[in-house]
Amino acid sequence: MSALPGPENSVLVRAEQAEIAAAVARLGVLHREVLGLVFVDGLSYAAIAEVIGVPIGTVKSRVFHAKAALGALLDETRGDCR
Amino acid sequence: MSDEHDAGLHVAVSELLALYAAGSATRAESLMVVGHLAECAQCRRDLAGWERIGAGVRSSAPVAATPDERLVHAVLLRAGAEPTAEWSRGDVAAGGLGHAWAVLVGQLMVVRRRLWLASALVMVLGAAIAAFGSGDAPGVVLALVAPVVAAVGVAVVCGPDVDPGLELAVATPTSPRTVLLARLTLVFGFNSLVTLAASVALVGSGAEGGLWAMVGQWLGPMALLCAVSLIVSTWLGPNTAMGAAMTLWAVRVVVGGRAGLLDVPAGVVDVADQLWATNAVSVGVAVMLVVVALAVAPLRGLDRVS
Repeated sequence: MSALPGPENSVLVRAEQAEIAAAVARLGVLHREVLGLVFVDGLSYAAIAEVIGVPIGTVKSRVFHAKAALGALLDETRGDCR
Repeated sequence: MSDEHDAGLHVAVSELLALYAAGSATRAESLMVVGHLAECAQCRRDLAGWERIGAGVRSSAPVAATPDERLVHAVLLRAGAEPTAEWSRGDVAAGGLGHAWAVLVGQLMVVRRRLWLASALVMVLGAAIAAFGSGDAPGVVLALVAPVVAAVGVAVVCGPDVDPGLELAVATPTSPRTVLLARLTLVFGFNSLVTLAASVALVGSGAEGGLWAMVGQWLGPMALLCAVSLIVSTWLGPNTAMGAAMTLWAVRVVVGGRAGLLDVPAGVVDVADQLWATNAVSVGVAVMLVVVALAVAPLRGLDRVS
């Protein structure tokens, strides 16, 4: 299976909302864009694919990688705090 | 085959969780997600992660780079797509018949495999009756076995030990009460239908008495025994409920006038026959037990999860 259990879930659940918002702001522009289209604009994958002009598979993998990247950023911040 | 199917479903659902958390999954997608979430701890954790991300993204919305609203609107129009959030989690809390139906279908997916087991039991019973029964006996056998089969089904499906539905209820706005009621409805409805079909077949093949006389022999006892099983199952777990239902029914068979295995005072037999019949008393007691079980359910669920 390609989709391994996401270790980012535990750090996401523990993080404050403000921490997550700050981490979102530090994401790469492509990841930030796709998360905004999903959670702010409430678009389906097909609609997002049209808006940004990429195949639907690319949208899905960007969404998946955006979550992993967010988890990595949060891990980093938590590491800095220690 | 089942594993491959499950693996495919898992991948499909894990791709949909972000949309589900955003409230923009379609109705069909949401049903698929809800059905799978009950069985998959990994996806429940994933969903929790996505919900945190959703809150974070929305609170930093001005920062998130999103395209011009008019562009989005234009694209939606061009694609002929309506906004996708026509049946989202917000609507789940809104109630109504549509919601009740959606919960039923969602629970059907969760309960399905266990229902097949109960189905198999009842089918074996039907076959046995067809093979060995004659005259009056098949109706009596049906009335003796059908209630306990249904009650065991309720015990298995509604107990907290095997109940990801309660966790699911905490992760979604669907209350544990609704989940329990949906399951009870499914199991009771399913068993009633199967037993009704068996009754029709028996009457058709010449058993004595009309259809309603035969239905009356099992419907009230089934409702009462299922209600007892539900309340014990939510309170003490499915195994205790199964034991309680079987014991109670065994006592009823021994005490009851029909089998008459023991010398029991006539007064006790009368009370037992009143309670274990299809009448206002048995149905009233059954409804009361279900109401109590449903009232207690949320407390039990929260106890366990917290």
